[in-house]
Amino acid sequence: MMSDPDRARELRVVMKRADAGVFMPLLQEGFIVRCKTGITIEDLLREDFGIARDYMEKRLSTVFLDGQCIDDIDSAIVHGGAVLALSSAMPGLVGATLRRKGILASMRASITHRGQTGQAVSAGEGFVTIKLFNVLAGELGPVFLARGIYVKAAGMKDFLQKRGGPFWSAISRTIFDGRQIDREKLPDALGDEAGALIMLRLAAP
Amino acid sequence: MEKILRINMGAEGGPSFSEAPIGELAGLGGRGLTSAIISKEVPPTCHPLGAENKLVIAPGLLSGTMAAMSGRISIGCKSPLTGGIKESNSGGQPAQVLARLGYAAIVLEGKPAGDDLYKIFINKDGVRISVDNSLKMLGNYALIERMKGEFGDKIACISIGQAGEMRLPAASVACTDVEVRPARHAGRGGPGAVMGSKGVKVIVLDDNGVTMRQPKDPDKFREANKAFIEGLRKHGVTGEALPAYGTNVLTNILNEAGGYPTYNFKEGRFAGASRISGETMAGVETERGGVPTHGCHRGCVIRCSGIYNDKDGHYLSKQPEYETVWAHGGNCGIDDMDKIALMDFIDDDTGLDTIEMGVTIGIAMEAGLLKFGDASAAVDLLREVGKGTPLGRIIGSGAAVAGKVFGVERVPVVKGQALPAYDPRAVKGMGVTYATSTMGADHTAGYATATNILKSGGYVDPLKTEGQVELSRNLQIATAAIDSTGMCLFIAFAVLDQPETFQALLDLLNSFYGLNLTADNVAELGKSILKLERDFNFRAGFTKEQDRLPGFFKSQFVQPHNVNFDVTDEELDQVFNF
Repeated sequence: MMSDPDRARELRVVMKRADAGVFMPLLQEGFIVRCKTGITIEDLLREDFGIARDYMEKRLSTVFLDGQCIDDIDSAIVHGGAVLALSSAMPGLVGATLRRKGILASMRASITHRGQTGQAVSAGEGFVTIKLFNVLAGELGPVFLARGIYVKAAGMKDFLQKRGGPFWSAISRTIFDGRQIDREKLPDALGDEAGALIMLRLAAP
Repeated sequence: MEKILRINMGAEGGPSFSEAPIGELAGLGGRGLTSAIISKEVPPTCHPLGAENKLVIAPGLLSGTMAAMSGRISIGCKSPLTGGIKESNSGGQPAQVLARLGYAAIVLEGKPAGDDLYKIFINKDGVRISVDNSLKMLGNYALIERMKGEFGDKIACISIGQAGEMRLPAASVACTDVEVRPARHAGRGGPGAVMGSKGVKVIVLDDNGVTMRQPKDPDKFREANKAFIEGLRKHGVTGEALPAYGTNVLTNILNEAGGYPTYNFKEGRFAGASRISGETMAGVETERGGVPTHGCHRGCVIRCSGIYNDKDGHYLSKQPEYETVWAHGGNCGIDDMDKIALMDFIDDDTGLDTIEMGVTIGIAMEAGLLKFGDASAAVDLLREVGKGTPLGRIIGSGAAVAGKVFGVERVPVVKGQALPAYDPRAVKGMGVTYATSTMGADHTAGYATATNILKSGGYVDPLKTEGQVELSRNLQIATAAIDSTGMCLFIAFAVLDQPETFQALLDLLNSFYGLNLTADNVAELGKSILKLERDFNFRAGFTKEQDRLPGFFKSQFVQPHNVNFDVTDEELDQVFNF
């Protein structure tokens, strides 16, 4: 059971945006964002996160919504609780098959997103899980991290405990609940209450 | 590449060899050449380990030239795993070296009377075949160290490990890479067992004193190669994703799509996927002083491979491929990257197909011999193969045999060969190729995604739900053709999206050989190869009933999408209607 994101404690990490790729394990695993819902993927990424349409056309080659392949990001609607995964172009026959509007799209017809079924989705605000894969983690990670992402406290603790020198050397300071905290003390400070969330935010030095 | 070297291992008085001009086989290379020789010279009903079978080793049409990505080598035979024709190909250095030595193919024929083990040394001065029983039951890594000690470190080797010597149906043929490590394998279908049946442990190639193959039109060839490389470098897949993360970049994607076979094809998603993804692996490699971007042969500009070090920074294995990580990872419920890399090393050292081994271990897990997720037990089981224990020999015989021995119903094989890392219930077009390929279940059989350019079976609207059969047909035709060039199949992505890169590939062939090939000619070449292979299999006793997936893919629905494989048999029978 996940706790209320509004009760999440904030961990602010002071570092250069260009180094945000060190959070790759968290970004590929998936994180939660508070955002507009009931709108298309394109509108969500453009209006809420400021990602340019041109970038989406060129870089978001492989997109999944709730595990289904997306061909049209301008028609697939993101609902509250959705899982949205973003990837660049992938290798292999299956990589080409899963690609948006690819020539081989019919080969994965049974897992292609066909639009909403059942209840209509109304526009509003909610929480969505985002996964960033491969090169997109480095490119889009800073966008989401700067605004703040929610991750499980236990997962964050595990993540930090496994980091080595290159990770910590990329970070200038860590601030937890408004107070600067030493990296050695950070994992324990996060706690491991089941389902508790941490809001991870990246701040410029 | 004007001559064919034939080595008769069963000649009276000991192995003998002869060389002859390539003759009527001129214009064929790689898979085109191996399949032409096998289909013409090998009796289709012969025993794969008998004297009548042949092992054909052929570099591609452009191997040994300046052309980028031209280092694939094809190894063909009648397969001890499938009972049909087999072409299995590999990267590494041997294709380039063999081509520069002037050979279009080496054909191993006959069978020695005794149990002596042979090594074959080939350089510009000729061929030397000698008995070396001290090499018996050496793993590939120890073997290659011995060869480096004897012949120096400027060699390229083609070899077998213990599995090949024991003539196990999952045995691979190893090819050394740029660092002269036996880390590249013609893995599928058991070519290592055929090499073992010929009594050949290793072929050592030395191109010292020979030069690069020269094109008929050097200026045009240089221009074409430049355009070809530019096309590869500017493409998102060949210029970014593959160099950065290797083929294992697919783990997250397939898992997200619900097409990542997990727990022996029971489920479509693996909870531990992100712990063994290409992204994670690249991070570990960098952290440990390994290399996340590395080419398997000289002239590779994609460089999708890498070096995976252990926790102490010592070489553990080359960067395992996606299929290997899946087979030993998610398919077995294992999310320990170090153990997966160790199994990759054991596979390479013993000389085993990583896909076949991973699937076979998954079957052993399903049978209860060990638990899903038990990485240490999986490592131990794999080591049994190299030891030659009865259990090891069963595992080394592949998934179909293990499924029978262990009494498992869910055995994911087609024509006796284990399915690779893409669930055909989620990606049904892949299932069509698995079912109908002449090679058995093979993810590379329909890989060359140039179908929109070749249009060899008519244009297919990508937004229609129909068309799986047409696409599979086109893909298999295009792949058969590219497999003949010696080009790495990964060029296909740039070729798919960039017509000018496809043209550059044609220009490379045309300027090298003084030809005027068109896309239609390429498609015709692909068709002719597939026809030869289908004909061989037909004469070996195959019928359309072998062009089917196992029944459980129809009866057992896979989550999270709750889908099954529902392409009809009648549709499958339309793939080879040309």
